[in-house]
Amino acid sequence: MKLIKNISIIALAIFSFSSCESFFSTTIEVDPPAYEAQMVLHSFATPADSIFLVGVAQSVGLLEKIDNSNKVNDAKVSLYEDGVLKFELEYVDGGPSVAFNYGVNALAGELIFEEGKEYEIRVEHPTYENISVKQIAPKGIEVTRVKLDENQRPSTDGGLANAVDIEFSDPAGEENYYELKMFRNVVFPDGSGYKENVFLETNDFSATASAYGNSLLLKDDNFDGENYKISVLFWNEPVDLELQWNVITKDYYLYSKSLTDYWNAQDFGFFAEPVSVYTNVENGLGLFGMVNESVYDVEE
Amino acid sequence: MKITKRILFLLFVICCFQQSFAQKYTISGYVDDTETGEKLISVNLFDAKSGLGTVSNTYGFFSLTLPQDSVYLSVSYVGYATKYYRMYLDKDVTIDFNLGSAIDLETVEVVASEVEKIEENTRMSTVTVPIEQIKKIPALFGEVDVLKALQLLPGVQSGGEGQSGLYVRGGSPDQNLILLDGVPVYNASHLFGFFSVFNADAIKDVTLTKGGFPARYGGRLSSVIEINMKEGDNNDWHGTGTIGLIASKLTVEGPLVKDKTSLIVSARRTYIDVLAKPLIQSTFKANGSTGGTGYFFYDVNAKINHKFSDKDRLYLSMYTGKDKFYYEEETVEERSIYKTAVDLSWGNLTSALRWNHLWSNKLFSNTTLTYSKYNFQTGAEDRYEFLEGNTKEIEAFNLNYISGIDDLAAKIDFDYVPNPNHFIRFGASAIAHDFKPGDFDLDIESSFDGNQFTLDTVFGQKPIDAVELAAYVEDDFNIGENFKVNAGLHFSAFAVNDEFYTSLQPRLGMRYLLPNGFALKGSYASMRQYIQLLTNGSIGLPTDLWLPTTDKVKPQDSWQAALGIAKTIGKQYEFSVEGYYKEMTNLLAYKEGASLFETGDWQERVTQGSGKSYGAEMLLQKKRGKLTGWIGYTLSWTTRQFDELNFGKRFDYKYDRRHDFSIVGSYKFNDRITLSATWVYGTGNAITLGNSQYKAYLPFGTVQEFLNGNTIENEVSFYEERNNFRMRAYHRFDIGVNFTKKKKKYERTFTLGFYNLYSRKNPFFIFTAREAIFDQNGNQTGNETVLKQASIFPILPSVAWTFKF
Repeated sequence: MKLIKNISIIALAIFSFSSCESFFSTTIEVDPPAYEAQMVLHSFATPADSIFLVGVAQSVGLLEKIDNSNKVNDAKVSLYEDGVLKFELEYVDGGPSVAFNYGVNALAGELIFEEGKEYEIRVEHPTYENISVKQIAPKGIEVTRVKLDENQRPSTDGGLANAVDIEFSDPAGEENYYELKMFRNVVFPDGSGYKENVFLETNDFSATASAYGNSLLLKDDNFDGENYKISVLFWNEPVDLELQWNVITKDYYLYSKSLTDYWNAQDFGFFAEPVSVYTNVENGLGLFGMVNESVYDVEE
Repeated sequence: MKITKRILFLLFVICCFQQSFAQKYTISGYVDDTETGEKLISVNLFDAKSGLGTVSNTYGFFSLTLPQDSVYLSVSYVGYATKYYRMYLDKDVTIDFNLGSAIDLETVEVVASEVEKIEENTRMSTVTVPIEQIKKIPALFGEVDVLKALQLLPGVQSGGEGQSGLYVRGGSPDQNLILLDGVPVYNASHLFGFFSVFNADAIKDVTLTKGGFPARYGGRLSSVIEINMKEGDNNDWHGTGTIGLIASKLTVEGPLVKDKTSLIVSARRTYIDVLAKPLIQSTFKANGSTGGTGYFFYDVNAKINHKFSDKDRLYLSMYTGKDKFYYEEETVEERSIYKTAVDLSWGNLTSALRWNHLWSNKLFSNTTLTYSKYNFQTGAEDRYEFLEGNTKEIEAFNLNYISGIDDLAAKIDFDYVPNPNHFIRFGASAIAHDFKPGDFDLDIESSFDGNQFTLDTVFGQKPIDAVELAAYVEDDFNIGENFKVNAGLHFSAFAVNDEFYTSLQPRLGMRYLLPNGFALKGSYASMRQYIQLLTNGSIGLPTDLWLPTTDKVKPQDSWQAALGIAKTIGKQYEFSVEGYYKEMTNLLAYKEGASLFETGDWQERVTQGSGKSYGAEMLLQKKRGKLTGWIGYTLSWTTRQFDELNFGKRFDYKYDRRHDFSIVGSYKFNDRITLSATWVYGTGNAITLGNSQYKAYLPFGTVQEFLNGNTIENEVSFYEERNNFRMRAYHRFDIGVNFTKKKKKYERTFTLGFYNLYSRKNPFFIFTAREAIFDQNGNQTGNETVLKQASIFPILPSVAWTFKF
């Protein structure tokens, strides 16, 4: 009986803790992981550009705010072409929601980039580790046919969707990456208008739909050197459509795909595997991506 | 094949050599419990005159061949009084021994020296936990759990708070072969992993093997957990029942034909759904609807065995269990009916028919036919009917999803004991797997404005059939007085689609007796695994899919070497320390960003890589006396490397645990009161948490438009590497006390327990939250983002009332 009595006293003592809320609470605050701030670079360029812009910011702690104050405005940013300094970029005020804060204009009538040449951005700063990133400007690859199908086709969820077939000739013996975007030109009776984004789907196993719905990413693993046809599906009204056809670098592809994976994983929260967003920036984060863009009207 | 030939030749030579001595005869038979007739496993039989001995096998059978001479045989087993038998051996004899429980503690201590000591056996990395010890360990909600008891052993970790999954020496839960009466159990958990499916009242014993696998085991990389069900009392009818906080159970056993046929049936069910039913119904009623919601699980074990003769016995055993969550609601209004229902259920069925046959007093066989299946099913239904004028309009949707695995298997195992220096086992097995990776059945019915639409379609992934074959041979033999070896080969093959995989796996276990009663033990085992669980790994969800090796997904392989020392200290303590090194290849993991809820080909969502685990384990057990229990400690490192994860760099496994410590104790004050306690400590689990964050950009349209501000922006976290963040250490103290009283016709035990006595806030997951900031006057001045850790179990009391009749 003594033992029962003693156990009862212990039990009572434990339950008396219940007056102390924290004893039974199931959450506590924990310290975030330590980090070292790095420079983050973002820049996208095409061989048709006469203006070149670069955004440089710094990474912040997990619990800190991401805003304009994270921009790094006092760095030295340089552009090299095939290893030779081409431009020193100047600080520009890109405004609160714009991704860049350094820029340069080409001389009148000239372009900054040339297909097939290698470009390197170097960023130096006294506080952060210097960063650099290289890209080769991709050559254009033409679309040979872009045609709206008269008949609707089954979409990924079983419904019937509009379809456009896109044909092109993939160069043999090299890794090629593509990005497809589609827009519909909407014109109002008063003559004004806008470009409506066409959300794309596909049943093509070589393609990945962007999580943002605005593009499809495609790589030529399965059709290297072939004449290839990809069918894209959409739900918008099938009139006045135009295809934006981008030949992109491998880095651009990997970055865009990892951002899509990151975005999708957020939907599954606890149940999704973590995603590392791709970067091609040495000692830093972000992306310098090069694109060769062309636009085609969709044949109806 | 060269190795096989050499080993077989060596075995042959040794056997011939041993046989060439003087005339020998064999004593064989079975050992069972006097009171219940249960066969006793691993009973030690020792002839003091010749110094030779053996142990009984899984079915209680033994065979001991000795020279023609007088024999002084002792038959001993922990907790039972030793029997001694004198005779002059001049012919083969068959003797069945019945052992009775030790009458008092002193008797147990006296017999202790007779029981096979840890240093005598070639096996290492193996622990048998008596079911009575498991029953004493304080448990979550008072529900005795076999698998959670194994988590308290060195080298074994739990996945997370309250989870019954086992992570053995850096392996994942699907690398554990859980055998219930020899039949693999695929999903061994109830209630999302918080309880295991094994009802302790129906179990005879539990053995865990973490390494040094003898050749008879195969098919998994990390462990073998053998759970043997009781056979049923052969002499008298009796039973045990428990009324607990969340479940109650009842076990009845007895002879159908005395000394010939016995039966045991055990069942368990939760009843929160039954108790809460009136409350739930009144809540629905208050909302103007009818229906119900609830969750329950149940399991049933049954076994019948029949002794045809001294040479033939038949066992038929079965287990079935199910978890079910359901929600149904129906709202009836004047012109409409709305009905919605969701259900989620999963369960196992295992059955085994086993035939023991004694071919001679040296050759014993067990033939097994098994059928097992695991099914997961979920469904959702929505139906809306309303009257539009005089027309009945309908909108209905019904979706069902089913996945699972069915196995049909046959195997035969032989035990051959040519002489006391050899114990040869050999056998073969075949399993036909039928994998169902997931089927959807969709029905849609719509009747509106005179238009009718119906859809009845089935879609999903194709079933996969596969055949798994295995054969093995092993011998436990002595080389001289101090050196004992267990050597064997395990061959396996797997046929799936057009692929045919084969594997030859050498196994070796050795023991060398050192001075002062120490034994040096070493082992090597290579293993192969052809099936795997596709899981998100953090909690045991019923949606986890068992899937086969395919032409794209290669079989998993491992090899493991271990070296250790073992010693019995005095009459009560057993001590072992061992180091191990294990490498695993073709391990499976989800690719970055993939989730088990995604649709599409599962093979495209996974990637394969390698793993390493190494460390040291110490176990000090006190097996006898008023105080029993153990202290276990593990120091280990476990990593993974996948080309497609973490930029190809090696990273810590999620369940890499540097230190793992456990103390388990049970003190019997007297026949009426027993106090039990456990304390566990483990380094925090490794999780992936962003070190820093930044804003990432992409052009929405053209690059020119991007420069004009048409951007996609996304805040992203940067992970320095996978599993870069350690959650805080896990520790917990549980206590339980049993008050037992013998009544006239029955015995009752009242159990009071506390889980997590000091209410340690152990981590379950980490999340970020927005919290208000207040000034000194209590006025909100803003908000801040904080990192928080969620726990699920503070101190939890439990009570249970058990009766035996």
